[in-house]
Amino acid sequence: MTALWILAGYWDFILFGPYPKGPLGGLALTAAIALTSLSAAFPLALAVALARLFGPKAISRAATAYVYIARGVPLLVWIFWIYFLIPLLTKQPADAFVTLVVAIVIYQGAYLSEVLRAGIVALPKGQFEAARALGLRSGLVIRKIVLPQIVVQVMPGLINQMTLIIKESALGYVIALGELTFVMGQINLDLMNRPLSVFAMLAAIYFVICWLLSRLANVIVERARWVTAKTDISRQCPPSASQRLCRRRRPGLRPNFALCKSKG
Amino acid sequence: MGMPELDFSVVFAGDYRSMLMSGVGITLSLFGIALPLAFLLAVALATAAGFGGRTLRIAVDGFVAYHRNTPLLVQLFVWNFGLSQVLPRALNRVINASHPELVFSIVTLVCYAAAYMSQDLLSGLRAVPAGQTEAATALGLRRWQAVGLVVLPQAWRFALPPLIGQCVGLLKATSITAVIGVGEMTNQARQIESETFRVIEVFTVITAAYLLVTLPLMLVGTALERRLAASSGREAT
Repeated sequence: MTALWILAGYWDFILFGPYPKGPLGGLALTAAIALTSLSAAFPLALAVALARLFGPKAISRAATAYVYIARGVPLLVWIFWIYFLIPLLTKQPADAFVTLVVAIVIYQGAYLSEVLRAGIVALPKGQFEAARALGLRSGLVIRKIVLPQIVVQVMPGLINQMTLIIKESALGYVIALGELTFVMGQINLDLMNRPLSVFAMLAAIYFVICWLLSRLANVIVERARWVTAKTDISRQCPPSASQRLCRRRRPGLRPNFALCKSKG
Repeated sequence: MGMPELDFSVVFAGDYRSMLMSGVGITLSLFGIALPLAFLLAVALATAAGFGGRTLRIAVDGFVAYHRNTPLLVQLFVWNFGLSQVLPRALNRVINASHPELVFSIVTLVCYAAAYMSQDLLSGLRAVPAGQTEAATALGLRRWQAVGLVVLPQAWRFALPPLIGQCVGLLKATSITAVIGVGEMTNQARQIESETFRVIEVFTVITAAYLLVTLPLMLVGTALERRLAASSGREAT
């Protein structure tokens, strides 16, 4: 009941923050942070994944070091690094939105590069050999052969990354960026005596968004599996060979032995 | 403009040194207390979901879904500001007599890590082919013997690499408690920074401190993962 009462009184503040009287905030800002961060993290992650796989040794090592260091330190520490380093170097206060987005890009770029790298590694080796045999240059191989395939393959991974970023954007609270968590914190201060209702509602809002996104990712995985099951020649191989292929190609999934055997 | 001169001696001397050390102590204590508790809870959750009835499975699914689909910071707020209001009065008196923010931090971290770990344990269990249990019972082993002697040792091998990843995640997660005033490493660093303006020095020190623990863990995790992939590839051929 309290939740409905809070919603009735504050729905526009939860959605947009103080906007239009002040800067955009609330859920809209959370969405803006997530979309900006993901779009900025993607090219970085792709560059890092390609550097690790195909780059010269020094660059590949540097990319690997980045991936490990970025993931080894809490996001909050990256936020503080940027938030306090910017004024030191530029003599101007750091913008909270820029700080949070840059920190998330550094942090999640490393995770996303692992997702993309796994997608590239999972491509059949013959594709690279065929491309090389045709004399395609590596830039062309990446653009015409690697990218179109992994974009479909890593789509669920990208959506999962989106939910991670939405959850991490709650740390905007720490640097007083008026995203969803900060806005609900203000509502909590405003109401004084309803903390459980306010924070339960905050959790519920995040839950609905992230749960729906992860459902979406699952639907895409199922779709993709259905499409590959129809076209996958490995299903038509004799059992032993097909078992081998099933295992090799999708290390994350359990091979469906029943299906393989019935076809053989 | 230009880079400011670095002076690490400020951070390592007198009061600031002891602030940093107490931060390291609290971070490691949070980690050291929450990790075993989270693991025990995860084993209980995975057992309930893997071997329990429908009701238990739904309850575990709900617990896991809540912790996976909401920000850790919000989970911390729900415990520290929300649920703390509705706990039995006697329990609250005990908690408030010590450090309530520490207690709620540990509770939040344990639930959060356990939710993720339980899923790793379950996928470890699922990775063991059903034929293993069937073969074991066909050889005359009881069901609990088949689980304990045949399934679990194999499931463990599959679950270990992601569990190590969760350890890294838990250590990083302890930093969130700074938001409700726990004096762990990141919080101390922020305070030292605000007093000394030694941004680079302070944050370099705590970045290195985190990496000192997380890097070896991540490297071990990757190595185990690689070995597992290699051995299951061999078995398949």
